[in-house]
Amino acid sequence: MKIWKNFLCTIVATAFISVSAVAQQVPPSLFSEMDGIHFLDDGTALPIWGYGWVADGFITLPAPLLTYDEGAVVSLAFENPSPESHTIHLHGLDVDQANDGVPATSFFVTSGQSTSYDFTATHSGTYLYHCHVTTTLHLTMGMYGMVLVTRPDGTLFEGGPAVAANVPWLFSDLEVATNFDPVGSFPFHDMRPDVFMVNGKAGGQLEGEVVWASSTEPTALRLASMAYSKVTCHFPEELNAELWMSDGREVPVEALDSLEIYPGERFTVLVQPEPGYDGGVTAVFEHMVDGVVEAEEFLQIREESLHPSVVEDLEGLGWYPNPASHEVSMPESTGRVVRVWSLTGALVFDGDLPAKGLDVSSWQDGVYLAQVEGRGVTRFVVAHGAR
Amino acid sequence: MLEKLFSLAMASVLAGSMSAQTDTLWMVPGGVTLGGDTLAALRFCATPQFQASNETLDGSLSSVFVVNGDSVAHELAWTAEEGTTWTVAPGASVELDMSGLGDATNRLWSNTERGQTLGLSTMLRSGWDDLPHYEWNLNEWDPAETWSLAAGGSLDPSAAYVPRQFTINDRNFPNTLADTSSYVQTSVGEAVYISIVNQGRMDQVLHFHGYHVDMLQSSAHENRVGWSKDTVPVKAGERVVVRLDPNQPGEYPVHAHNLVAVTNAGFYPGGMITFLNVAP
Repeated sequence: MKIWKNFLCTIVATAFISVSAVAQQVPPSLFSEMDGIHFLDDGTALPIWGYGWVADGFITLPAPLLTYDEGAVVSLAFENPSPESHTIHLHGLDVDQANDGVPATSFFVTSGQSTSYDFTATHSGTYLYHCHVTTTLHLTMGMYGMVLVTRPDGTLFEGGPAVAANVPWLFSDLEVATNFDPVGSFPFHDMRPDVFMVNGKAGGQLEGEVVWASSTEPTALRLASMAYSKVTCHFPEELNAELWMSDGREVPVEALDSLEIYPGERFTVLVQPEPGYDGGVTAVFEHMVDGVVEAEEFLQIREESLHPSVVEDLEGLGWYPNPASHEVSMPESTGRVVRVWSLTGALVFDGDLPAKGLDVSSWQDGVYLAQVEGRGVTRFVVAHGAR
Repeated sequence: MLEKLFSLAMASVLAGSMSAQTDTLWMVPGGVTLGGDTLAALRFCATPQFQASNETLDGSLSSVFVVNGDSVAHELAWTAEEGTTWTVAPGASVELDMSGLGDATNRLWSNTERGQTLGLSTMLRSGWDDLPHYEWNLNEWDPAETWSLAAGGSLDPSAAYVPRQFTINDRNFPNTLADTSSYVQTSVGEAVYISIVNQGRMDQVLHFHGYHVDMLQSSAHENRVGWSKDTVPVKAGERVVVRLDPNQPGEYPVHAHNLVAVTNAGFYPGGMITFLNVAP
C-alpha cells in the first residue's frame, strides 16, 4: 500500500502541472525571448513572449515554475538574448529595491545582457514572477510564471499542516489580437481578453487533466492569478476545501465554497475529498471593468482510490463475492467499522460489518468504495444479475 | 452665488464651532485635465473655489457641513449611516454627524448619476491618527461620459463602459508623485496608515512592492482584518485601511494590478501608480 501511496503522491505532484513540466535546473537559470509559439485549444499557433530554462532553449506559457525551500538564499540567473529589454519582478517576495525588477528603480536587462536576481525566500507560500517592462503588454504576451516556496518537512508553514502534495493552478488570460499584433495593440485601456487559461490551458486542453487527491491527507491547491479578469473558484462541499494562506502568509482557517482571486493575488486552499469523490473546481473568469462573465473552466479532481492502477491493485483484497447481488463480505473484517460510498460520493453505509456481510440486495447496481477501519479504500461491484 | 453659499456655510461653521469642531465641504463643478484628456468634474472642495482633487476630511470632527454649489440637487450618501440619504438642493447645505465614529474610514458621495460620473465622492476619516495617515481615493474615468452628464444627459445603459483614465486622488501617474497624500515618505521602522476608498464603478486591486501590509479595515472583506497582504482588492465602493511597517529601505511602486488601470488614455505607464519612499 505504501508503494501505491508514494506512487499517488507522485501522480498528484505531476498531473495537471504543465506549469512545472520542465524540471527546475539547479541552480535555475532563465532566459527571455519574444519568438515563442503557444497553441490554443482551436489549434491556433499564437505568438508569445516569455521565459524558459536556458538549457532547454525554448519559452513556455506560463513560464517555468520556480521552486525554493523556505529560507533559501537564491541567486536567480537570467539572460536576455531577445531584441528588447526585460526584467523579472518577484511578485510578493518582498525583495530589496535592487532586485525588484522595476526598471525605473532597479534596472533594465537590455538585449544581450545577463544578470541575477538575489533574494532570500523568507516565507513559504505562493508567489509570482513577471516582466515589469511595459508591463501591460509584456504580461498579456506571456511573460509570467509562478514561484512556490515550500518547507522540506511538507508543512505549509511552521506549525502548519502537512500536505500530501502541492498543485499549482495559475490563472491567466490573453487577447489573441494583441499577441498577433503587439505594436498595433495600443491603446491598452480597452483590452478585452478572449482566452482564459489555467496553467496555460483552456477549454478542451483541460480535459483529461486530473488532480488525484488523497482522502486521508490534504492536498494544497496553490492558486494564483496573472489574469486581467477576476477569477472565482467554486468548491463543491465534498472537497472539504479550507483556506489557509494568502499572499505567502498564514490566515485564519475558513471553510470555502467559493473564493475570489483578483489579479496578482495568491491563495493556498487545502482540499481533502470524500472517498470516491469525482468532481472538481469551476473557475469563473469575469471582466474587471463591466463584470461580464467571460468564461468558465472546469478543473477535475478525483479521489485517489479511483485511480485505475489503484483500483486494479485493490480488487483482490477480499470482498466476496464481487460482483455481488445480495450480500458482500470481507470475513477477516467482521465486526469492524466500515463505511461505503457510491461513486458520486454519497455515504451509503456506516457501521459495523455484519458477519454475514453487507446486505446490498436493495442497492443500485454500480461500483462502491469501501473503507474498513484502519485499512485503505477498496471497491466492490453490485450487480443484481450476478450470483 | 458662491459668495452667498460661503456666507451661509460660514454662519453654520461659526454656530457649530461654539461647541465642537466642524468643517465644511463645498460641492463645486469645474473641469480637469488627466493624461491628455479634459473632463468635466464635480468635486468636494475645501472652499467655494473648484479644486481638481476631492478634499478629504480627517481628525476629530464632530460634524461636517456640506454645501451644494452645483446647479442641480444631489442625493448625498455616506457609509457611516448606511441606507440614509440627504437631498441637497442647489445653494442648500446639510450637516453630517461625525461624532463617535471611532477608528473608521468612511465614504461620502453623491448618489446621483451626475455626481457619480463627475467624481463627487471622497473619504471622511476618523481615528487611526497616532501615525502618519495617507489617503488614496481611487477612481476611473470615461471623459465622454463626464461631458454628457455635465450637459444634462444621462448614461446609456446599453453602452459599453470603457474608462480610459485611472486615478489616485484624482491624479494619474506621474502626477501622483507630486501628491503628498498618495506618495508615501517614511523611514525604516516608521509605520504609516493608508486609507483607500474605491470611488469608482469597477473593482480595483493594488499591489505593494517590497512589503506586505496589515489589513485594519476592509468593508467588503471583513474576515480579512488582521491579514497580511501584498495584493489588496478594493471593490467598487469599498473602504480599506492598511498599516505599512517598512522593514527595508528603498523606493517601491504601489500600483493597480488590473494592468489596464496603469495606463493614461491607454498608454503605459500611467494611471494608478504611486510610490513608497522609505529612508534607511
